[in-house]
Amino acid sequence: MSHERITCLASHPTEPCVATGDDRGRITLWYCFTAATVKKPVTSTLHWHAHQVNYMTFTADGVYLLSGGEEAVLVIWQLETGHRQYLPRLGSEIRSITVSPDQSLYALGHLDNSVRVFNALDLDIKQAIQGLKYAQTDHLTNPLSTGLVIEPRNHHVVLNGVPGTLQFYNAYTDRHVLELEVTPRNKASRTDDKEIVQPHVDLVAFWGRGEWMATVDSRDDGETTPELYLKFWRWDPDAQSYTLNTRVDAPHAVPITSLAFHPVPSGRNACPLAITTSKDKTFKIWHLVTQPGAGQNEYDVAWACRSIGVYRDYVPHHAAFSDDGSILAVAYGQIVTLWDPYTNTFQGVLVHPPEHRVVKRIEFLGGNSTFLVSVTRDHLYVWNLLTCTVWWSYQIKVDHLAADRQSSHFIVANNFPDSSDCRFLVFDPRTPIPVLIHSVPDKCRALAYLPRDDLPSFSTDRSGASSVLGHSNVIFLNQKWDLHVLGQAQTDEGSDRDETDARDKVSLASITPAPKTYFSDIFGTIRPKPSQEQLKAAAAAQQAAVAAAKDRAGKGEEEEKAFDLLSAPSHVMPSVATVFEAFMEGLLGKVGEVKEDAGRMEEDRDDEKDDEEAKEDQMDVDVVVPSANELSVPAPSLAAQDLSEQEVAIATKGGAFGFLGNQFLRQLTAGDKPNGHVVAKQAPSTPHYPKTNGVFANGKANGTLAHDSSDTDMEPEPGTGWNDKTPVSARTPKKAVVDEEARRVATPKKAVVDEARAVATPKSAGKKRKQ
Amino acid sequence: MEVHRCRFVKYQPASINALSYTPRTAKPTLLACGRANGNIEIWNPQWEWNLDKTIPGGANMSVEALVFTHQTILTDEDDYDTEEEKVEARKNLLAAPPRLFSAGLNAYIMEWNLHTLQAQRSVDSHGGAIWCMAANHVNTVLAIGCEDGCVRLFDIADGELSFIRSFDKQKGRILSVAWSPDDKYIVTGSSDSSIRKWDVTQGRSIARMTVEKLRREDTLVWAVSVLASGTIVSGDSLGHVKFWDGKLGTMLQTFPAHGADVLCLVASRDGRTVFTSGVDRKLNQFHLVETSISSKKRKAPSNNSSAGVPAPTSTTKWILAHNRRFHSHDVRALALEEDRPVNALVSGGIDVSLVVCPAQEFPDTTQRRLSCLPQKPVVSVSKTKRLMLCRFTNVVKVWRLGKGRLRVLLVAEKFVISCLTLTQWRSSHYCQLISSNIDLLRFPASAPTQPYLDMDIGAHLDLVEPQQAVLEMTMKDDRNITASALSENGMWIAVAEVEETKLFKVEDDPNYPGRLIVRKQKQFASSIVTPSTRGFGAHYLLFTPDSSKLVIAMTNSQVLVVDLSGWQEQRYEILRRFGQHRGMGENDERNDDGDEQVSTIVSMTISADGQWLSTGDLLNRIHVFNLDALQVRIYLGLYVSDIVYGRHCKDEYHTTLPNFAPTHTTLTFHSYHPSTLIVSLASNEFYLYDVELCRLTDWSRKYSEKLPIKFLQFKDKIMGFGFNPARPNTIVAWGVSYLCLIDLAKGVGDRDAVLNVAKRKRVEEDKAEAHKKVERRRRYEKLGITTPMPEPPRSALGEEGEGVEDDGVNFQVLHKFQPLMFLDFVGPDSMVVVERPMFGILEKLPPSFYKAKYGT
Repeated sequence: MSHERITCLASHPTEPCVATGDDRGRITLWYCFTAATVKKPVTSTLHWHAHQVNYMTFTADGVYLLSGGEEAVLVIWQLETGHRQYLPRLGSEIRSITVSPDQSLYALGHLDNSVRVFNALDLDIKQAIQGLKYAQTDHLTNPLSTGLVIEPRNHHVVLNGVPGTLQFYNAYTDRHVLELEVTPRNKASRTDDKEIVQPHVDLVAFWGRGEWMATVDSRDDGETTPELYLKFWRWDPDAQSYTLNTRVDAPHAVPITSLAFHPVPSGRNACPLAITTSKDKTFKIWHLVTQPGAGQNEYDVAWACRSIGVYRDYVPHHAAFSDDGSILAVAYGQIVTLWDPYTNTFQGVLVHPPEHRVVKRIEFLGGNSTFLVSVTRDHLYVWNLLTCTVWWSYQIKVDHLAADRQSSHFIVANNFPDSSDCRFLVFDPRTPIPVLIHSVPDKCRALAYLPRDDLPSFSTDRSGASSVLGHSNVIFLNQKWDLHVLGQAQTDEGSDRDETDARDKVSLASITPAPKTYFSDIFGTIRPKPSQEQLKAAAAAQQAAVAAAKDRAGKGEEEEKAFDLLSAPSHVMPSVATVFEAFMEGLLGKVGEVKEDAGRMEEDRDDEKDDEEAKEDQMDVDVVVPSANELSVPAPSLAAQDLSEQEVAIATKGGAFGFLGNQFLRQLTAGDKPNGHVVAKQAPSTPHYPKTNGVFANGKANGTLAHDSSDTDMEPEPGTGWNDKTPVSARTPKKAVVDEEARRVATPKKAVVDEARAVATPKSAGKKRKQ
Repeated sequence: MEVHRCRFVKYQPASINALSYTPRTAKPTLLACGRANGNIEIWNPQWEWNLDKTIPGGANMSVEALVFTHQTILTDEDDYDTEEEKVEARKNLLAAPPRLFSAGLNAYIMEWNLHTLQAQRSVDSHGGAIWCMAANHVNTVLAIGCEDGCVRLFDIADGELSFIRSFDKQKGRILSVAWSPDDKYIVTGSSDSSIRKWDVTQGRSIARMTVEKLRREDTLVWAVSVLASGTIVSGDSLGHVKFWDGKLGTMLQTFPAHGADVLCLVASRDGRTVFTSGVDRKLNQFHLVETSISSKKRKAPSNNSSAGVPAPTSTTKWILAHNRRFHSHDVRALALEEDRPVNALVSGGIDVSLVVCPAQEFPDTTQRRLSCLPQKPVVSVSKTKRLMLCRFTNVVKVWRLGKGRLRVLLVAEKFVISCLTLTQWRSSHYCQLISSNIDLLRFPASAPTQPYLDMDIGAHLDLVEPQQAVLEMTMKDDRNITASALSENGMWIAVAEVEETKLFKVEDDPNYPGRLIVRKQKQFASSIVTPSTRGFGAHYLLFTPDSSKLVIAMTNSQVLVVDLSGWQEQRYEILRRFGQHRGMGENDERNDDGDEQVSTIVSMTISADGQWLSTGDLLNRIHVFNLDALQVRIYLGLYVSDIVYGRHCKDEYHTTLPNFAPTHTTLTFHSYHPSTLIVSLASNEFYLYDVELCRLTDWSRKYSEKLPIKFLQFKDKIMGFGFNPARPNTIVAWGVSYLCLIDLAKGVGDRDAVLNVAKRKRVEEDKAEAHKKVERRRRYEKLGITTPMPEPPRSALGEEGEGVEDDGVNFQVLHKFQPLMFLDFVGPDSMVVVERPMFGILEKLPPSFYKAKYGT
């Protein structure tokens, strides 16, 4: 009789009657079980819901019918009298209802991933269990634009909640901590078929130890004037929450693309700064000012725009402050501009190789390193800011990137496009060889480092593996919108318990198997007592790849010095020209026939000629799928070489795409290359990665990772590997050359390279000439 | 074509107060509908609800309750000696027509004569206003609820209407009354928030049930009913519908089903379905359902007392099944007849329209709103004087039609004619129209048979001279006007009610030029009154076209022809008196034995040359009189083959006609073939009868039986015919919602054709469009370009030949003007239509119950 879609059904416990709910909000009771009514059912309609009835249930005695829907109101129908009782303002759409057998409790499941339990007598709430709110919202209208942000005070995970709110979540205890209503709104359900456009929190950032929080929220329904607000929130220790301090209406004319705080440690009495970039081609720096006429009370402060920056009519896409706050980097298209945030002076520009790809994201690495990571659509670049050059790069689709604040490591998530797998790569910026690869059978939706220092069960151990993740765990959202924490597994008995504990805590909101088992599989086999030499060799291999300037792993002291120099903040360093010699001296050590500057220039030119030839080779490599021969040219380590042969053999058989290990086989510091700089490309044809961990461990991990593995047959011999490379690395000591090479290697066409350099990096070019 | 589109006639129907079906035993089933102005309409559900007749009310005669009774048992069996006599008497009772009683706030119970439409009997209640009335199941006793709190019983057996007794007095008025199925008890609902059960024999209250009060204010129990099972149903002013146990007087169930007062409820005969409605306009259906499939199988409750006994609890319960909202204002009356073929639930209220909805299929049905406009035109026109007369409840108004001038004519086609004067416009081969709301129907006058496909609304014309109300007469009598007429020369106005007919002479007002005054012809009334016509008014009045005679259809079904030529001497001579509709000849003394053949005259017409008069009654007897010779010419109709009348009318004038099964609705003489009488029937068929040749015309014989199906499917009856002087062959049949052009020079054509001009035009356009597409494609193909053109749908292309020649369809229907109260031609291509839009009626009504709309 009705042509509406039936959405739910319940049968009466005592009478011959069933109830159906439809998408027009009507509940129909069907009396169609007697002989007279089988053909012509007698129906009765209960209509209160304006929208679809999501769920309904009878109480066990058949006296009441409970129904709920989008209105977030529980309706209790007394069937005999038609009397209705409401439990309104539940905050979120009702998805399911159940009644305890003794009819003393009602439990409601809500769209915001919570369960609320009510006393059936007085309809008082007894308990609320809140999961990750974002898991069940409409992901199209409410995208996860904030990503996963770690609140620095308590290390809560902050992310979009239901529209217009932020949710603070404790990932370790699996507890909802706080819902912050960024945009207060009246939770009215729609009156017609058109959905109400809700405000959306676009961005969130924290300052220092969490004293300040900044949010950007917007609402654009296409009819009224688009709303855009920048809000600054102060931590209120009394309320244990953030309270709104400043609301900037329409901080930019058009949507804001990024938001970042100046990372000055809060201990210093410096004025906090924040930056917003917008599609209106400007970026604005905001600072804290005392409100005019206000006293000395520290709460009489507000945020105001300090300066507006523009660069050449380009649209800024992302901005980041260096860890010490001395550099502000703003990404414009394919270039990254560097600014002094204190003086607003333009410092320089980093031009990405002319891939014509927009830089999506830039990130300074933590741990006082001098590296800047930038991400374009299909490339990952690591810049050394001391040299303003691309240190290394990969052709890899970076879906998500997170940098560890406590070390210089960063992690990259790469979703396989044609399978539901995801690969995590942890890099040390100094070397293109990932220090860790992990694959999970899930897509990664967001990624962050979650500090683990305050959680004893995740206590750091002093093993080599601990250096991979440092003092952090990795937290990510999978495609089912579950939070997963990836941590370091341990093999001794005590840590087994920890592991199970952790797993319990980690699997949130659903019962997905903890992906950590993969880790334990991998590292469990690795665990047994690596010998000291092996460890050393591994470390040495890494360092060699980064510096590419050493002949021997045993040269501890010089190494140390050189890296001391590098580890200083870039803005406190003397100019590169001043420290260059000393630095290179230390770096090169015994290789050292260091020439005078003029001579080096000449050598540069020589090298350039060589480079011409090298480039031809390089082009071949770029275009052609590397053959086994090419790949087996002197490689950084024997292990890699051996592995490459294996790999290629598999590749020719399988022909599938996507395994990681092959990338590293194509390290281009081959013998014909004069420099030790590394650019790796992802090989287009690699075997399909089997999901069993055994294969992973045997085939790849031990070879490509610099760790020693249990498979002693594959044991690399770092000594020989380095020896092979010694002549190569000896010839590449100079920054200019490195710069040059980086460009060459990354870009096959010389003309373009030259042009780009001429346009984009006049300073560095000029500097070089001066030298 | 010039169309005087008049919307200034503010005809306001009265709201509906009461509805009643005839009892099941009486055939045919009729529905009485009582209105606030005292009129009672008798509707016949046959032939898609035809309004048979209207009993006129009067001032202070609002109808609160209506009851049709039909006695089926013999009151005094001892009077009859033999069984045969008893059987005979019962048969007579069953054959007797039903009696109609009405009661109102004027404290009278009236019984109506359904032929003369006059009050037959009336009785004072002696208890003040009567709020409710109900007859017992054998239709021998009438119970009324009075203002003073008494229930009074009246004996209505055997044609009586007399007081029997009064029950004990109670506080508060009695608002509703119902009889129990065995007629031993009466249940009343009163204004002191209680329901009482009375013993009929003792006249004492034996049970009292109370409903909730709101803030100590008494709740009014507006409606009660006793179901076949004995369950009592009540509806009160809190909007609650309650079900009570009839024996114990305990409440079984209550439903807060309405947002405001429940004013009416009806129950089905088997007592399993109840409909309620009221101020909140909702029509609720309650249904009795079984709550356990088998009570035997169910375990008895564990407590000892009932162990072993089959569960005694009731296994049925009432549910609120459905609701619909048909009306825009309070619903005050409901009537239910669920037996087929009637199968209709009828509701009516403040918003003046009856809504009919199939009862058994409720709610999955479509309702039908019956037109609230009178089915007999209330408008008459003097074409030469451009005067229009319209009658209202007790007022008669006369207007002079306006004149217009064409200012800017934006013709939908290609050209713009600006600033044409009327005469220029006429001369430019286009007909033009003027009116109050002046619209222009444009089509070339040179082609009188131009299909109306080309007819179009061209422009509005400026009124240079607006219509003018020139006369307004308010009758002094309390009785509502039943008939009125305006003579063609504009000299006479005749007005009639059920007891008197008046004639007025129209003169120009010397004080206000242009206005009219009337002078009552006092001698007229006395000169037409004879002993046999005393106290009888008229149902129909007509002046002959030369304005020399007035024809009066009297309420006693006599037809009088009165000569007006001697008016200067105040001498009005009755030329002739026809008694055919009383079942006799001219001899009006022979009335007694022919009484059952008396029937109300419902239609009358005079031919354009003044030679022929035709009258018809509800028994479908149609007589044609020759006014020149003043004698009966022909007798048509249903009873032609009747032996008695065959003998009576067996003279040289007699002729036979196919029997008309449906009631006829109108009689009209063709203006340009004065001897052709057009008879339209309730089934929307119409016949053309040549009274000179005493046979159907050739066209009618050929086509009257096979009119286009779409035309026959119109639910609105034909209300009249118009004749355009510019197109003598064409007749315009019109009903409330349509007008239809019929060319009598042509055949009917395709029976299944689409008649609606606009729709046909759309079809044509679609066809042309499809044709164009094909052409374009062909052209492209010629050029070597192939375009992916979708194949035009076959139906749009149609079969070749169909529709290209338009004469395939003769009937051309326009829905442009509606709802129509009147249509006529005042000159060549000059048409007057009187419209009364529904919103005009509704805006005069009081505000309806507010209902919050979600989201506003």
